[in-house]
Amino acid sequence: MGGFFELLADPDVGFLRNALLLGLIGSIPLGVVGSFVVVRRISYLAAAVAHSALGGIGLSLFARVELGWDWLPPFAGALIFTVAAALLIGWIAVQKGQREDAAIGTVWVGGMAIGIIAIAKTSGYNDPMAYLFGDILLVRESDLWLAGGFAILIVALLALWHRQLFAVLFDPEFAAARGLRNDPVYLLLLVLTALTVVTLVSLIGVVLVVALLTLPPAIALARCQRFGLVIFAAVGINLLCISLGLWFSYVLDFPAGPSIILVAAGLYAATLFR
Amino acid sequence: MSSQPAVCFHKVCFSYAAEAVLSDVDFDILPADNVCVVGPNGGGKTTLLKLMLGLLKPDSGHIRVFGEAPEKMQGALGYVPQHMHFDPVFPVRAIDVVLMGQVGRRSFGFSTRGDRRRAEAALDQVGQLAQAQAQFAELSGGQRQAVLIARALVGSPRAILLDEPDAHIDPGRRDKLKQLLDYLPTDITRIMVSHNMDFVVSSVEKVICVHRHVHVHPTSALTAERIRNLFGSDLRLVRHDREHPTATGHHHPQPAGEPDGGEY
Repeated sequence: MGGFFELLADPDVGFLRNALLLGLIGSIPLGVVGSFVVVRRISYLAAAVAHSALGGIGLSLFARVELGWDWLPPFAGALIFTVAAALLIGWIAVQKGQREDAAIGTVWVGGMAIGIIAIAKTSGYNDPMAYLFGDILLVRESDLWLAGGFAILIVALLALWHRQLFAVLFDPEFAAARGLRNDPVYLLLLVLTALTVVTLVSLIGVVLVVALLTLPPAIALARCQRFGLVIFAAVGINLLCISLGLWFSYVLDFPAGPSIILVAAGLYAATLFR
Repeated sequence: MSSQPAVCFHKVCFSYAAEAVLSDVDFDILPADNVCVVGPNGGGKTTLLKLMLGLLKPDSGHIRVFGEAPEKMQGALGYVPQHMHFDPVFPVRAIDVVLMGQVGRRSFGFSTRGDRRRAEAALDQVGQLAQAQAQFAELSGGQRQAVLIARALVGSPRAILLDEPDAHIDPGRRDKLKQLLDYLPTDITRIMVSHNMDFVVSSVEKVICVHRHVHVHPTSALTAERIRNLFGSDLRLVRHDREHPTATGHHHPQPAGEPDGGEY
């Protein structure tokens, strides 16, 4: 255990510190946005948005290597893909009578297929596993600034809109009768989900990020009766899962992303059986 | 402001897909009127309310609410919907539900102390202040309905629209709700949809009968025969605490039949 903290403090070795800091910063948007996602029961939709990020990551890797677009970082591709996926799914969801589930499935697998093909066609060795399940070595210091910026943006937008969003999620018809525009408020939540996913994708990958978006609020909901408390508890549980998960991964020499997710899944299981 | 009607329908037609629900609807509701909307299931009662609220748009004709288009007046109407499909594990307390009655398109940031004070006052008005911190899902049907009425009242509306407020209340609790509705503020327009004539509160001044077409009666002119004409024959008229002057005026078209009849 001593080794873990020494490594964290070692000025020459940044990867573990960066990973932990990214996790701590990311816990905030994960907990806040995740709480809205879970009470609205759209985890599957958030999962589709997250998985579609692989398409953007793959295409930007391809563009960097094959087209020389060095200015295009993978996160930018992920950002464009996830926001587009969120808007597309949201738009289909608000069109009455559309098969929302089919659209979600298409965006989900379509994004992944594009990503895997683009990665396969990119010269050099690129392991899709790193993007699917996260790679602690992928976390760079610039990611921290980006995550911090996104966290502030997400929290600020929700601080402004949370009452409208909460009213729309609870009773859309009453909200509409109060003059609230349901569809844009719902799309805002989906776009914020996309931004949250992009923030954390390098640490835990497109497959696992949904678990941190949904499990901590689900754990919090089992104990807290006030929505404000659910949000704070979800942020706290995320902090705990990420810190403990990274420690386990160091001690047991496990991959970091899956270790974090197993802690979250274990805590969730504990709430079910208590 | 006082001279113009609270709600004005002029030659309004509305249909869902190909099915005409309302045709050629013409009526006025005056400010501070206490009105009950009755009619058979599927006759267009809820549609009428949703048109007033701007949730639906008429195919033709025009609707004015306090002299304006309905969508411009949404802040001025308090709405108590009939079916609230709420999620039983949605983490929301009674006070949170009432607070939502003050949220509008320009509500940004957090609720103020004033918002909370008004929400508590509205809960007090419906006798549910003690339940303020209780989970909404854990309240009884009657308590929930009272909280939803508080949510409609909290924004100081100029009119309150209630859609079958007695629909999900067990009979033993109806009297309490009825009392509550009788004591709604009398300076605002009160419009209540009911399927249950027994529930039509004693202070109602006008009854709007909806069955594709709309006819307005003062309550005093509402006879058993008229109601029978409107709803079909298998009815029991329970309330008889008014005089029934001789029936004059129009006759309603005989409806095709009302399978579950209801108690009247």
